[in-house]
Amino acid sequence: MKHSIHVTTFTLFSNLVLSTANGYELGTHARLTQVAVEKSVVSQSTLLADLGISQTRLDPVGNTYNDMSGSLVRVRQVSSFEARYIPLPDEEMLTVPAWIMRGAVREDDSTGEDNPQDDPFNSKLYRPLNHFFDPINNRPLTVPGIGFLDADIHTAPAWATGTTNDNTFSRPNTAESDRRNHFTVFDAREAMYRALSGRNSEGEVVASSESDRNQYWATTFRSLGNVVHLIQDMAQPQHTRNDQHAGKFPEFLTGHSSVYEKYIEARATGVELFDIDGQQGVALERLRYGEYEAPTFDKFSDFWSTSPGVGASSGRGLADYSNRSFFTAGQNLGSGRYALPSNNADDYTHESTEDLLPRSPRKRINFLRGGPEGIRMTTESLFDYFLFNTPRTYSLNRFNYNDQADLLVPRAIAYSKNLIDYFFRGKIDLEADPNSSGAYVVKNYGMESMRGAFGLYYDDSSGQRHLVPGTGPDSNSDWADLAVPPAANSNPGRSAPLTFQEPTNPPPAAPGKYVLVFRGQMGEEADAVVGRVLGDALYVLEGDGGVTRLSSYSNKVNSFSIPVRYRYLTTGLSVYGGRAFYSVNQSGDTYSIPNTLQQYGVSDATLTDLAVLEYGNGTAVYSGGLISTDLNETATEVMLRHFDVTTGNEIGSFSSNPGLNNFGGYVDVAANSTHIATTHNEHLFIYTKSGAQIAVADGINIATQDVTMNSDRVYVIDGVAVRSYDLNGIRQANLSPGPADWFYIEAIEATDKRLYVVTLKSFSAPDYKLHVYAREVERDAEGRLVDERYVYQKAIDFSLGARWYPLSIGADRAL
Amino acid sequence: MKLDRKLCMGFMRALLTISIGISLPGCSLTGEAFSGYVLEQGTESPIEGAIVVAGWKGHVATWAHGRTVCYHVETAVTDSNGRFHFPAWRKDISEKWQKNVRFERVSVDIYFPAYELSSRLSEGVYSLEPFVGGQKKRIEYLKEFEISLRGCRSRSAGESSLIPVYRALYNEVKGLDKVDEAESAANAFLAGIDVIELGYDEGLRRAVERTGRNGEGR
Repeated sequence: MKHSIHVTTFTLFSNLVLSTANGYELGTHARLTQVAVEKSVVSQSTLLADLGISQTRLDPVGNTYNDMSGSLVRVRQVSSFEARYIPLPDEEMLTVPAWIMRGAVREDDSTGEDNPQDDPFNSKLYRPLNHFFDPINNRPLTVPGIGFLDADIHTAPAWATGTTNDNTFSRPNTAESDRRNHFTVFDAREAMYRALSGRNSEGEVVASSESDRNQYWATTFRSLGNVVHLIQDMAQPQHTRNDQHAGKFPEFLTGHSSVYEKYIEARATGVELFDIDGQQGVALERLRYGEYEAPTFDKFSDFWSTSPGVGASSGRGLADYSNRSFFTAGQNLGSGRYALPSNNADDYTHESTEDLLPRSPRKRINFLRGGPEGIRMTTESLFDYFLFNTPRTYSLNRFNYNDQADLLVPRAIAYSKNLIDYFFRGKIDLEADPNSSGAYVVKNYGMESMRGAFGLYYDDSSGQRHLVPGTGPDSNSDWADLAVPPAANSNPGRSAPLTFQEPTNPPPAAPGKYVLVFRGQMGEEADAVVGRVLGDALYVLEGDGGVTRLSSYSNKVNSFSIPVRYRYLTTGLSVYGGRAFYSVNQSGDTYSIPNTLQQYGVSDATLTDLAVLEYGNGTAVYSGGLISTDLNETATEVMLRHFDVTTGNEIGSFSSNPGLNNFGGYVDVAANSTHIATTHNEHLFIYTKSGAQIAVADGINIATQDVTMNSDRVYVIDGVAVRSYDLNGIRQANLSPGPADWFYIEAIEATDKRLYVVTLKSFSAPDYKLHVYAREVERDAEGRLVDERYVYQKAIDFSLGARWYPLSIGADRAL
Repeated sequence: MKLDRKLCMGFMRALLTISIGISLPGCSLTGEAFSGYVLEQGTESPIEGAIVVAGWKGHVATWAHGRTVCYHVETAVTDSNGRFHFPAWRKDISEKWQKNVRFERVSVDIYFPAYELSSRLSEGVYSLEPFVGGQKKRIEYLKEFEISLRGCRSRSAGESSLIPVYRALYNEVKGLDKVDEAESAANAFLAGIDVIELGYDEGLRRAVERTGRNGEGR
């Protein structure tokens, strides 16, 4: 019940009539965002690696970001303010998830509050005023007199997407010029483009150095956090039912501060005892995040409402749902402002329950149950919201709030997660056109058609990013306006063939390594941005229905699949400088010796027989030569044989632990290492290249298994885990096994940057499924290996062929 | 601060002439003295040496927004009777938002090695019980405990009073050497001390550097 009051001063008038906004509190937003990010593509896929962002550094994009307003850019710094609410250790406060959470916290910045007053463009901005959205009336927070505080209040979706209130749903691709919110979807896209390309939408170079581009990555992620905050507030029904809850005196006009929000904050942040509903020291249970599966959408505004207006009563947006499904403190049953939930008490089931209040066990609480999930919608009360005694009125208490939170919190997380996934939905690639020598095609793995400009970028030796001439939006070539159809039947859409000249001025730091960047129309979005770092060369020697095939599962330009001669045993793939070496059984489909050591040009399909081995099983190539395991003539010793890769002539050999004999074993040598590692007879042996034994480690699980090494570590398979050793044979770590669906590890390959693990996922004939997982090899700024406990698992999202054996993988050690 | 005081006094004089019951924005923040006890669950024996963290929480509502803010934090140590005491305090308003604080509650967190909060027996009387669970679980508990203090980790709230808690957390976790997570937890608590003593930027930089997982944004 509100009272009117006459006052004599302007200041007091504005104090009394203005209502204020309040979404979930900051700790709640941080935690909802944290869970959403953990479930999203940011954490569950190779997205960050595909974008060229380290997943292992704790400060991959630095500690500053950009605030963009038109052509002006101001650098801003992270603040300790966010750290008060983000539940991460301080050393993780610059990770990508932390950046997104920082945005979610700072979206509630308001002039005059305790947040840093560091907005360089808006001296007075009350961001929370723009966190409301009534989907029935398609309107922002609407309270008499609020125009005195802000004459241009936006709806939450308009504020998030960067449009005006009128354009949000009718013209969603029309950005609001001079908008005051600089962390909208449009801003996130522009920042992402600058981070990938170093250029702005006009093509001007704005961020060529890596640190400058990282600032724009930080801006991208911070902006995403701002946007998901605005979705999460839609899971607070007071924000979708125009229910002010300031808590500013006098509250019979401005509304009580939101008990729901404080209660949820306490549950979210783990407060153990809370005073609520007149009860002291109520033990709280933690907030339940649930596993709700949110709908997917094809435009950003749908996340808020799919049909604002009368259609909102059946809409799938989060504001649609919370508006029609819940009562609020100020718009409770009988208020009549909204048709849903029903204002007729007879439409609910009456429940009278005692034993809910520990200190008053006989006291009955009378609930009204209803809604699709049959929750406690409201409670009969002797007192209304403002504690005035009126007949037949209703109020909300923590039992109602618990039921609300159980439905709303999982949705807040799920919608946030889906919004992040939608932002990063684009997936592109570039590969050599098998039908046209010297040409390439863009591949679109997404479900939407793409049309716009594609550019290839590369970094020089000082880390400056350049556009490959002849590509990009201003190239006056096919690259400037290219259409790529969507994926269909598990096959990516392919563009028409494209050509480009490999850049020479300045020369690239890593030849063949590029960043492919798209900007243009993707589905309904007119200004989408997609990027992908190319040039990670991984090759797989696989069986495929009787034919052994060398395939490339990388994005390296010039990679393609080459069928090789059928063999039963084809193993020990090792790749260096664009050439693949492996050992292959000569006798067809029988298991017999001898083997042939072969080399294969991965770019030119040249096949050369190098040498005949008695029983070669492992092959390792490095800058100085090629080593293969073999048996001696009497099959009593495992030999390590050393070949010249150019001539195939043997230049030396030595015995690996005379007296032991168990097949040919596996071998590896790092590109620049002085060491060789070999496994056979359930042992790991480490030698110098001249054959001097350094170490023996035993206990390799099951039989002899694959071994791989980089500059300073040796990795061996141990069942469903991978063990690491240093070059002295001292065991370092058991790298955690991967996801629960790993059945068996078939092959591994290490470079100085990554460890690839091929696992057997499904053992059901005839459809053997394998997956390749990649995890970062941790190194510090000086290139030294750091603690392997922090290695993360990420899956490369493809499966290998139907026949899983033989199988071997190799990464090009020259890159 | 002097300007704030003048504004505070001028405003108060103006409103005295208007007889409307409006809660006046204050010129200083205050907290009343309070005491309590920390006992062991079950035996009700006093626990000496427990660190009690009191956070004064208030609702800050401007015309546009309102939420809960921690505006003052202090720590106290229980004596041989398990008693702790927080004297009354008063501090001048140093930031504009503090004028709009409306007191909500004092949150109490209690730390004692190898123990956890059990319940509030009555007003001001808390019980702790021995922590049940292995070293990993204890580290998780201590990390969550530290995160719960973060809301009061600000200059304006008096964050330096949290340093004894951080040191105590660090000392306990250093003794938990049988699990891998102990080192990262120790780093986390050291980082908290650095952030308070050296400022956020420098504290954060050192925290990341200690892990060895820093780099120039690579």
